[in-house]
Amino acid sequence: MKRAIENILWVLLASLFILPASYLLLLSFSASWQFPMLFPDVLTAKWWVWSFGSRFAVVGGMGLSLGIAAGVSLISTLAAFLSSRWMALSRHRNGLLLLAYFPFVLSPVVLAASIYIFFVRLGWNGSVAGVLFAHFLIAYPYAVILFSGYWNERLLTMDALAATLGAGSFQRYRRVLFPLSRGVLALALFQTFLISWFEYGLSSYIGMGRVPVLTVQVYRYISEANPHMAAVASLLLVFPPLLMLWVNKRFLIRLI
Amino acid sequence: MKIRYLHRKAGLVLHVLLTLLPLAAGGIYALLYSVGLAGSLAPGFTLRYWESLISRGTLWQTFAYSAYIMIASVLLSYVPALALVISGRGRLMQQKRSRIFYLPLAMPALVLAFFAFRFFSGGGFLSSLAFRAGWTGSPQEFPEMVNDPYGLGIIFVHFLLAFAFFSIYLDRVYANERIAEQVQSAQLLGAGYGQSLRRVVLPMILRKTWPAVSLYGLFVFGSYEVPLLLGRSTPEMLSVRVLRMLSRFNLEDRPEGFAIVFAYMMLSVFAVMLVRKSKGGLR
Repeated sequence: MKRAIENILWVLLASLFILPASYLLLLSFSASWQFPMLFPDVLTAKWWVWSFGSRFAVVGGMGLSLGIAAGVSLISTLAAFLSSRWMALSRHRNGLLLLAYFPFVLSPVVLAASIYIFFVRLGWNGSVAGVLFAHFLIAYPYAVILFSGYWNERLLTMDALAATLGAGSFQRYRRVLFPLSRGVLALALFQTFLISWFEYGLSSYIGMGRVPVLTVQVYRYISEANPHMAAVASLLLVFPPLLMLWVNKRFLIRLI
Repeated sequence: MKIRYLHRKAGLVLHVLLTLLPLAAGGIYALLYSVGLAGSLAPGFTLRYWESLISRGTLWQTFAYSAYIMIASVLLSYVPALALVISGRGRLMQQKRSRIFYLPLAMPALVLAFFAFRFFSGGGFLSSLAFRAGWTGSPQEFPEMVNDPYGLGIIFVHFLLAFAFFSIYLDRVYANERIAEQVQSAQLLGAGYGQSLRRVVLPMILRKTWPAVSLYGLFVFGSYEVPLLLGRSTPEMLSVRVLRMLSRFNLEDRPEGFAIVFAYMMLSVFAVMLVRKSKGGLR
């Protein structure tokens, strides 16, 4: 009896979790799906074909999103790895870590609204570089928090040992710290990639609609009442995280 | 040695600049704008925007509604996730089928909000189902589940995201803290199931997880995409209201929008400090 209830619960949960992606997949292949149709009458691949053609800029948007997210994840992971190591050696470690929590908990779009004027003065609004920097401002603190628990006594001792044996700063990173930290670096790379990949409000506000990353395109199609193209763009947005889930499910566990 | 020390110090200064500067610059600008000292048409020092915001109740309404969505979303997802993990005794994620819990985490909030809009709106799937079953005669008769005053759609999307996250997170805490062994010890010493739950499991889990739960709550409080698609103009969640006020042409709205930004920033800083000061808080 207990086993039967457990199985029913699993089926219910699986249905709940699978439902959004399946619904959007069906919507992306439907010619038309309006009230009171329960399911689409005619299935078509035209929305997908169009998304890869020149009429819609979906694939271009995906490339742009990939480029920005890859850049953000690389820069923020590297910067946070270095600064978290320096923080671990600092007397003010706790205070410095606390600073990382402030931008981390703040709504990205509100942060963007408050610093937008500075982007305007610098001429970074509406540009890819501006969106990339804005994403970096929220991905970097996250990576610092992620690395904060990583620098333990053993790792710092190994680093000190390499220094005692004559290794320079660059050599220590290349030969000791990076090889030892491969797992956590991969985790930070993937998670900061996702932060940038999923971000809508910040990209839309700082990019002023002129930087058509995939999330901005999803929202544009929704507001243009084109649910089929919105579904295609949504599924393209979900594809890289699903790939990560297939490679290693740990990559998807972000606090926020 | 001195060069290495300087280079570390420069790195830490850069960290302070990257984390504190945007917040401080944005906060100061928002404060100056809200008291009439910044902006192209700044009238000079005045408190009238703050007074208007407070007297009309806009500030309280926005904060109260965001807090309601935050509490409802976190409670409705944390409690069932906790029950699931306790009943699974921390072995929930060891099962192969547990991979499905990761699926919602692969979906951006914007995409889930779009799905919820299509599924629960008057012209959506559930409404079509109700119509076909003869329960409703038109889309208008279908109960409001999105863009509704209670934020049901917003809460549903946050539930979907948070329930999956909390289930995985709590299961990990249950295993890492060796709670199953603690329960066994308590029961060997004569504690009943209810007692071990009340005295061992719940205190341990709650103490360990509450900083993460608080941070998650703050994330829901400031969420943007979900209320943008599934909310309505009154009441309105904080981020959406701020953006709407800042993009209006009415010049009175922008200073009031910045006043909300400043109040929200102060609240966030206060909340982080509070979590940090508390026992078991941020390290």
